[in-house]
Amino acid sequence: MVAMAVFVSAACGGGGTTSGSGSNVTFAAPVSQTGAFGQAEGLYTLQGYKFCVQTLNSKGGISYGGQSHQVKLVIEDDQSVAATSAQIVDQFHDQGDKLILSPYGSAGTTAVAPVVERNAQVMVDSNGADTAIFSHGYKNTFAVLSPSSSYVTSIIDALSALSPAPKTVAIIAASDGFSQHAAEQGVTEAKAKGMTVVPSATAYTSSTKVTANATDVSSALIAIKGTNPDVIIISAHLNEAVAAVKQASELGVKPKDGFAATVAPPTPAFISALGKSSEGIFGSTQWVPEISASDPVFGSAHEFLTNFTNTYGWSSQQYPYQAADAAAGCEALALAIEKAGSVDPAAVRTALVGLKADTFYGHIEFDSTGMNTSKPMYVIQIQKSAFVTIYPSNLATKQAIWPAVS
Amino acid sequence: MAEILRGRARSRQGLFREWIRTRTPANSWPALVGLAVFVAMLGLQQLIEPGTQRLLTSVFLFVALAQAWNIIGGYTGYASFGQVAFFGLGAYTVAVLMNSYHVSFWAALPVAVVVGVVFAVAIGVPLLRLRGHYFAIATLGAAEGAREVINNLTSVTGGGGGITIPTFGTDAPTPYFGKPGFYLAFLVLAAVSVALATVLARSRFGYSMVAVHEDEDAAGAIGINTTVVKVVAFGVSAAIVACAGAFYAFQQIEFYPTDVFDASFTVLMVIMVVIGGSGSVGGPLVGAVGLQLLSQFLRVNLGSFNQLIFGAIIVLVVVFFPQGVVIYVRDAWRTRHFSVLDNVRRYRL
Amino acid sequence: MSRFLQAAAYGVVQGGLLGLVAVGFSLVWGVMNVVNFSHGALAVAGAYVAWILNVRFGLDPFLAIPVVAVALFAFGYVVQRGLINLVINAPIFLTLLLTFGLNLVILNGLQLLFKADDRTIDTSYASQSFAIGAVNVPYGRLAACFLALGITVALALLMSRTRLGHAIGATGMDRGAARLMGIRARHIYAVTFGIAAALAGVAGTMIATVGSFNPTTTPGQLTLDAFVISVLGGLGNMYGALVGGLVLGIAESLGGLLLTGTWVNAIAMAVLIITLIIRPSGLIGKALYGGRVEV
Repeated sequence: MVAMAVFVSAACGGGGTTSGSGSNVTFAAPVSQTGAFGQAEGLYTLQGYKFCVQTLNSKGGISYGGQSHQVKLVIEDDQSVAATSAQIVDQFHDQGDKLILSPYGSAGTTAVAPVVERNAQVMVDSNGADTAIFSHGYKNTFAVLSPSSSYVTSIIDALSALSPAPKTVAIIAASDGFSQHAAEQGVTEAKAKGMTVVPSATAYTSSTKVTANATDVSSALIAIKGTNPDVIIISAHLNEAVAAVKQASELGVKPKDGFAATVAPPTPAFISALGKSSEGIFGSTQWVPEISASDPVFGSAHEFLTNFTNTYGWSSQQYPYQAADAAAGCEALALAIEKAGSVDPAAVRTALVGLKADTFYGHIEFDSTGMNTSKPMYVIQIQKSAFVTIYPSNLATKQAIWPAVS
Repeated sequence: MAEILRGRARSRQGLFREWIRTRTPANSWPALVGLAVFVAMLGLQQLIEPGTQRLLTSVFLFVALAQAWNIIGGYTGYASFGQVAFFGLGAYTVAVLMNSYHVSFWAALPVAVVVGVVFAVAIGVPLLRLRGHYFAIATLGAAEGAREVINNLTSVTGGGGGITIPTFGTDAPTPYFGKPGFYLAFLVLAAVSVALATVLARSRFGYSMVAVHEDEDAAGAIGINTTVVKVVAFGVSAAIVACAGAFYAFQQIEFYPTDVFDASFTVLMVIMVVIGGSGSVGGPLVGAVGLQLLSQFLRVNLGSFNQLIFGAIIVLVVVFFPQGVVIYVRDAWRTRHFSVLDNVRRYRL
Repeated sequence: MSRFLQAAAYGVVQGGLLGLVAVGFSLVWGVMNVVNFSHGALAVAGAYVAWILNVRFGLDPFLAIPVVAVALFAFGYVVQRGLINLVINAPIFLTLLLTFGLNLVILNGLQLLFKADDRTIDTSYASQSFAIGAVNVPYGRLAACFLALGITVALALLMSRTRLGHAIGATGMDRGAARLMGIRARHIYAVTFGIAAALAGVAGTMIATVGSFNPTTTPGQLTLDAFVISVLGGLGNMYGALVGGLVLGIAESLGGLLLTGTWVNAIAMAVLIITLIIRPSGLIGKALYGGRVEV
């Protein structure tokens, strides 16, 4: 319908240059405004989408078919419930909204992906990293972020580049699919780097496995106590990571060199939840502002950070990386539309398949399953309550504090 | 079971004839109204978009769940806080059978119901001896336990990593129903559970349930086998919930244990029954439809304030209609006394 | 062996904290037959009060306790007087429903006010521990455990030795008779709920000191814990919550040691169910309070 209107107006307007403004392009996203993610990750994702749309529009919108088109963002609250996300995307389909941006998190994205597939909509996934999403042969879901498999491996790589490199690591993993998957890959990587995983290589599936979202992980720490690991890596979300650091101190479990965790440390909430105890903790992140990447819309990675944090009142020392993921997903969709020269979902899908874009977020290119495997993960360390990039070493602005605990 | 429903053995034909003979406008209207609503819903389906159909699907789902809870919680008086266990087990039975064994949905569905009923009987026999809140908390525990078993049987269920029902291409054991198909499926499920609840409520068995609720010792004294009544009520309730879980799983395609064992399903069942009016067929129906539509309306229109307002509305409804909306309307109609303020006075301290 | 002792020691201090979480819940349930769904939300509200005092004025959380208690008492008194008393004669599930709605209002209000970020009250000592051999005992949880003990004893004394306590107990047993004796039931109920809210707030403050809290997942978890512990310990006995908390804390801690993965959750529930089957009125509860749930 939109495509047809565009076609008609383009035909009437004629001319090959951008010579006027056409109809709006709609991006539709289920977002969490209430519930568990409501005033946290869901909000950050929404800020990223809004910032992207505002910036795109201020730069003249998306140009195709000889006209520029403003972007309209349609959102609806999913109450942090996966089934509701799926229902919302079905309703978007009724309204003719075919271009979908993902909800926050793997659970919501997992529920939405088959709906998108069935409705022949197209979705850019900005915040669902579980590799399971990409193992079902879905053709209409594309993720700009690195998959779950690289969350722990990047930490292992960063640690092994430090001197002296840790020799033993313990891995605590939450029971959800994303965390288990990341831990599994991490164990393989640790072995490849010559590290010993204590208490055992499979402990993350048994004695050091903790209930997802648990606030008591003492049993895993007691299992680790006495095995004296150099580093404890926590493959989990915020609650478990915060509990692990606090309870380790309570239980006298002191890793020789420090702690690392997957998604929790690079969030402002982690620092606010742990206070001074967050000092020196390593975390893997999807994006850091130090990367030498830029695009015409957002400028360089640093400019993105400055403009985003100014717009939403964040500190440039502590900012939610989820917003960068979200903005990158939104930008990828816009780039695909320009490339396709249409908002027809099939054409946009084809454009996404062949997309090779360099953006403020880094290189975006999707493999046959829809994952952006070319983009690396980065590792930060919390120093004086600020995120400091320490890996890859060419991006490092400061030396890692190592050992991270005194 | 049939024995209990009839009270005593009678020939099927005789029963039917007696049923026809005893039809009067006064006792036929629920069936007629129900049929009319069912047909109206079928008609409505033709008028609305597929995505809106999906929204109504969730309303039908909760109608079935609320009716199921009402059978054990409302009529029998045993407030189960673990009904979501049957939902999750039904969902996982279907998903595992379809995913690992390529069983068709229609073959997996009865298995899911059987699994739900077997689990209900297995926990019902020991737990239904507990009264009041001890039963409530024990069933809550049973549901949490069931979820952890599913979570830890990784080789069978995929554990915390979730499970996927194959629905695309030649992999699919049963073609996906699509939104119109699921609308119909959940509509029938809701209709069947309402009909079942109506029939049960008016049967001898229904009076046994109410007797157990009113005074269990007295019910036993007049010859009701209270254990059988309680376990059967629990089993019937579990069967409906497991069936709902099975359809829900197929509709969702991919899900995690935390999605289908979410305790908020149980809480919503209780809330819907209580706000509508427990121990009646209309109560859960009105509660489920009302709350589900209200929640969706607020969600779409109020952004981050929607749950706050939802909570406030629940508080107000409870204060003004403490006996449940349906029962207030019924009593007010019968006594021709509609004052809400008087109603508030009756329950205040 | 040292692991076993460590798990046991941690279970005891954790159990004390759990008991503190449940004591107010158990009181309201026992006296008024109200299952307070908003208990966890009240605890988190108390945690925010202490957190603000800590961040703004640098007040130590243990010193903030009186302020938290007074603030939450006032809030609880008003909620009972203005809302719950209106439906107190309705079946228990109505009051459950009312507090469910209240819970949504409080926790969404807190979310809108404070965002959903996890918070902690940072002290120099709470996460530190002292070692006895290979067993570490954390200061924060130990203090919370003693606080739970102190509060429980104080509550038991209040109930058994004071006129207010007798009035609360009498109203709980037979409201009609109590009113005939000149007890103002409306006021007594409001005071009871106020005390419970204050205790919830104190528990929330302790949670915030030894762990972290947020307005989305913490309230539900605390309410569920309180529910389980109250039934496990039994109603109608002021020590029930503490006993239930200790049993649950130790069972979970030792279970986590002996079992792999997240099976421990299933086992904790099995322990609960078996306890109930063997002793339906809870470990030290009074049978009077057993079977009075009605729908």
